[in-house]
Amino acid sequence: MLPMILALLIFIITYVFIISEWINKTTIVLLGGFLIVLCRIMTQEVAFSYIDWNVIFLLIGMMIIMGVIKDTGVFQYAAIKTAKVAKGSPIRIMMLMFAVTAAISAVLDNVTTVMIIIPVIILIASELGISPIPFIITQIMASNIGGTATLIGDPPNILIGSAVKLTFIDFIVNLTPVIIIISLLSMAVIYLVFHKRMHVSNQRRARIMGYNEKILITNKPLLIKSIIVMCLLMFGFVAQEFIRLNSATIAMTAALVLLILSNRKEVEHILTQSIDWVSLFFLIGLFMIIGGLNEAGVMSKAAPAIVRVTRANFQFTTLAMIWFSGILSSVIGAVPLVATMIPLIKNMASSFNVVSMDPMWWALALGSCLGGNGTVLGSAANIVSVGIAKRNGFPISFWRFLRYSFFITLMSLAVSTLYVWLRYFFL
Amino acid sequence: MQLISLLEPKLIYFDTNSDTKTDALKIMVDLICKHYETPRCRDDLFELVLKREQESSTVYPTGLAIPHVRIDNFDDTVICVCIPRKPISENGQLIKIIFLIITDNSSAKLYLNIVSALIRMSRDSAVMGQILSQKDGHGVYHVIKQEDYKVKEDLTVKDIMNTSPPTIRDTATIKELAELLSSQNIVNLPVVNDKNEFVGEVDILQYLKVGVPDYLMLMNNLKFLPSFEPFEQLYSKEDEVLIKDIMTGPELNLYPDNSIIEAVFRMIQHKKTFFAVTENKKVVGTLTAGDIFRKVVRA
Repeated sequence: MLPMILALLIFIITYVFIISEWINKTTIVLLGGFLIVLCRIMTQEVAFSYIDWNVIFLLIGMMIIMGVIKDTGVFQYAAIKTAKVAKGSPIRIMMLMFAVTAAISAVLDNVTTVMIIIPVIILIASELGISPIPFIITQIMASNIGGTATLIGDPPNILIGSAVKLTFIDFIVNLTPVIIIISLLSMAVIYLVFHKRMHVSNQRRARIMGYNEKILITNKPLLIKSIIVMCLLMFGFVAQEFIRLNSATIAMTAALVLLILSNRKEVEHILTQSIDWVSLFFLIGLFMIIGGLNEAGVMSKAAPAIVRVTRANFQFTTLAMIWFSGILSSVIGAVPLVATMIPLIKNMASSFNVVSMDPMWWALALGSCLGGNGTVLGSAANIVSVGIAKRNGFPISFWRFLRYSFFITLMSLAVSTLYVWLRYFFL
Repeated sequence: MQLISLLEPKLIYFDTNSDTKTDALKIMVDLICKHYETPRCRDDLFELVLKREQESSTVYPTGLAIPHVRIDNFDDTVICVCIPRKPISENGQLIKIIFLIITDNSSAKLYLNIVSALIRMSRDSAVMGQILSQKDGHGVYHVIKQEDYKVKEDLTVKDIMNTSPPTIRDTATIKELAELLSSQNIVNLPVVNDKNEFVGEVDILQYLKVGVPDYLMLMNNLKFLPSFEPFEQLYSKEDEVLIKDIMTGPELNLYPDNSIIEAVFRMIQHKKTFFAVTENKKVVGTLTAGDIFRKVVRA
């Protein structure tokens, strides 16, 4: 009983610190992880065995790839090109950029994507003489929604995919369709809300059309190499079931090949700057703490209790999971939430009388990723984007963000619920 | 370097017999040769001292005689002190203390600095009185030790800094900054507060940055942007933006007694070619890498 109470105590205190950010998140989570060992809830060997290296290396691989590609200037090119394709019309820019950002976020890291896109969108809005805030918020939405679409789009998906052995194709088949629907509906909402509000002069449009975006591709050979490696990477993920390799191996191989093909002087820079070591160690600490809960028997005790509360109603629990994780992820963050929910749901499996737990996993993925749009603190991409906006004199308050995000979040969670119900329970 | 570090009680003595400087010098040379193995010794060294004395007098108005010889391959500096109980008269001047300095041929600069420290000391009549009233070498040694005379060995920041530099108030507008930069033809300024205390620095790049929005700084390059006019924004903000909005903090400064090598080290360490020099929080000067280059390296 004592280990259980201790583990739970460490878990709760750590999460309070994660939410409040009184102490640096990574520091407190790592401390929690080693406190579990210090309190002899489990040995260091067992604690380390809970670290999902497939997740860690998949993330490292994707971060390296993003680090190389972003230096080619292709994302800035894509943003400016989009604005020109939209002929400088604000509403068309907003909608096309939504699609572009969602697509990039689906296969690459959201935070890096918005760090490149948001400055460009502020420039474009300033040149058009209109407020960039609606553009910034819709880009954040796009990034969070797009990231939900694939295994590698968002860290929660990576966690779920790795823990439950769901493949890249599984995510494409189960999540991508609903994300396309949600994206199209979001764009429709954006059109309805904004198309009459934004008017700009022809002169200002002409300024956008005067941009020479071709110069932005600073390293064409590297871009071509990057595209080839990305194609091979995608092929590797798609063929995962046949080649029987874990995602981390596929991503790391692609990343290291690309790193070798890139400018040799940049390698050190990419390894230190582009890999977000702080977030990776946050995950490592998290794995250890959750491992402690598991070893202490908290998960195996809590899971049946939860099932009892839901009266073992699998359909109800699954649909509730979308909303539960959607709301909670914007409070404690999607990654800590999903890391906790994974062992819990695994333990719940035996109590439900079902063939496959998969619908529950899709519910968790949809809820936790889309829930990121819920509040201004919902995901790392939100925090980074709002930070950039603030530094440029466009502060976005909690309520201002909520005013835009509330309806889209509500809509996307509702559509997800409908989708999960239709696809896994009704049809 | 302290003067006292170059003195030793065993080489300080009170002379009761000698009537002339030459007599005294003979005893001093013997004393040195007793304790040190100089490349040239005894009579050989004594002749050298006399020869040097004949070339020019080494007596100073404050009653100091500082005879001096340089010996090849000595690689040290030895100072022998003789205090005649009765001042020795030479060419109408009274000699109260004799400092015989033996140095290496390469230590010319150190020798000059020792001489200047000794002369500084001899100007203080209270100290001189105390020295003369002591009983033995140890007493003299402790009097000089307490006074803490410095032998200035190297240049410090104070010697090469620009004194009384222009400064700007933290509440001034950037328009005033622009005027000052252009009228003084400078690119950096120390910033002071209402008490005239050093509170930061401002440079021409920080001024120009007012015209370049932060979002542009986040981009890889701006080659695609042919006609952005950041300075329109700069002109419109010239009266609003204050120095304290754009200045950097006062964390990096130099002090007048910092060595030149420390100044160079800090410039390289922080990639900064300009430093304010402060004393008791007040700006007493500025130092640029250019000053060091022109006044020290290429002097």
